[in-house]
Amino acid sequence: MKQPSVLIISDDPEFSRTVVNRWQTERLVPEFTIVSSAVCNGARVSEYQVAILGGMPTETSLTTLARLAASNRPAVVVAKDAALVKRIRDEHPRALVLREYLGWLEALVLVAGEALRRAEVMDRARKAEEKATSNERLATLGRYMLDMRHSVNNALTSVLGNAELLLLEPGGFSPEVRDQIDTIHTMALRIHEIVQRFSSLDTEMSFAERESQSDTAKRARASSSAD
Amino acid sequence: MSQEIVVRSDDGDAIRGVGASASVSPGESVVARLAHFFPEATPVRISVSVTGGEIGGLGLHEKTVIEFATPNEVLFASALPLEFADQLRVRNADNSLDAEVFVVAVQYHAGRTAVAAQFVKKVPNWIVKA
Repeated sequence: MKQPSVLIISDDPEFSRTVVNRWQTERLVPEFTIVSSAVCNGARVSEYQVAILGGMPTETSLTTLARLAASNRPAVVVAKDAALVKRIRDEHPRALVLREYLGWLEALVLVAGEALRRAEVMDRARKAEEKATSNERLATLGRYMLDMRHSVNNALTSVLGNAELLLLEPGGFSPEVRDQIDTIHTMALRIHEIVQRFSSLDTEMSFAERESQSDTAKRARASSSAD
Repeated sequence: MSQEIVVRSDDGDAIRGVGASASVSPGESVVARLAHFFPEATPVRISVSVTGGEIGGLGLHEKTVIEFATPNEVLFASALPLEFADQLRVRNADNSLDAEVFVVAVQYHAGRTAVAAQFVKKVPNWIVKA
C-alpha cells in the first residue's frame, strides 16, 4: 500500500520538529512534507492525505486554510489562542482545531492518525466502487448474452432442421453442394455447443457468487471478533 | 531534451549546469515531488557541495546535485539530517555559485530527504531568471 502523506505547514521549525519526532513512536509513520506558509501559499498541491498547520500568525493560518480548502483534504490546526480557534471555526467549519495546551501533541497525533486512516478507508471505498461499477457493466453484458441464448437456439433449430432435411434427400444435390450443406450442419452444431456452455457458465457464476458472499460474511465475522 | 547551460555574469563568473525545457513530471523522484510546491521550478542538473549545521562538533558536508531550481530556490536530494529552517552553504566546483541558503521545505520519503532551500541574498549570475 502507498505510504500515507502528511503535509506540515509551519513557520516555526520547532513545531514541525516536535510533531515529526513524536510521530516516530507510532506504529504508522507517514511520509512528511514540511513547508513554510510562504511556500504553501504559492503552490497548488494535493498530494497529501492530511495537512497540519501550526506555529503561524493568525492571518497566515487563515490564508493558508483558504488555499487548502480547494484540495478537499482534512486539515488540523494547532492554535495558540482562543480568538484564532473561534475565527477558524467560523470561517473554516471543516477544519479541525486544537488548542495548544498540555497534551496537544498527543491529541494532534491521535486526530491526524484517525484522519489518515479515514482517508485510507475512503480511498479503498472509492476503488471498490469503481470496481463494482466495472463488474456491473460486465454482468449486464453477461445477462444480455444469457437472455439471447434462447433466441440463438431458436434460430439454430431452424438452420439445423433444414440442413438435415436437405441431407436426407438422396441424389438431390451434387457432392460439392452436399459438402457445403454438411459444413452448415456441422457449424450449426458447434454454435449450439457454445450456447450450451453459456448455460453452464451461468450455473458456475451463480455458484461463485454464493461462495464469494459466504467468504465475505466469514471475513466480516472474523474481523468483528478480532476487534 | 537536456542541454548544458553556461551563464556568464558581468564580472566573468559562470555557472555551468544542465537544464531542460520540460515541465515537472510528477512522481519521478522525491525531489520532483517536492518540486510540485514550486510552480516556477525548472529541471536542472548542477553538481554542488552543501555544507552547514553540525553533529557532535563535526560540520556537515556532502556532494549532491541540484535537480530543480527557481529564481530564488534550489531543490536537491540530501543524505544529511537537514531540518526545516536550517542554514546551509551551496557551492559548485569552480565557485561560480557560492551562496547562503536556508531550508524552506523538506520531504522525508522512504529514508530519502528532498530539500528546497531559498537564497539568503539574490545571486546575480543565477541561471534561472524570473
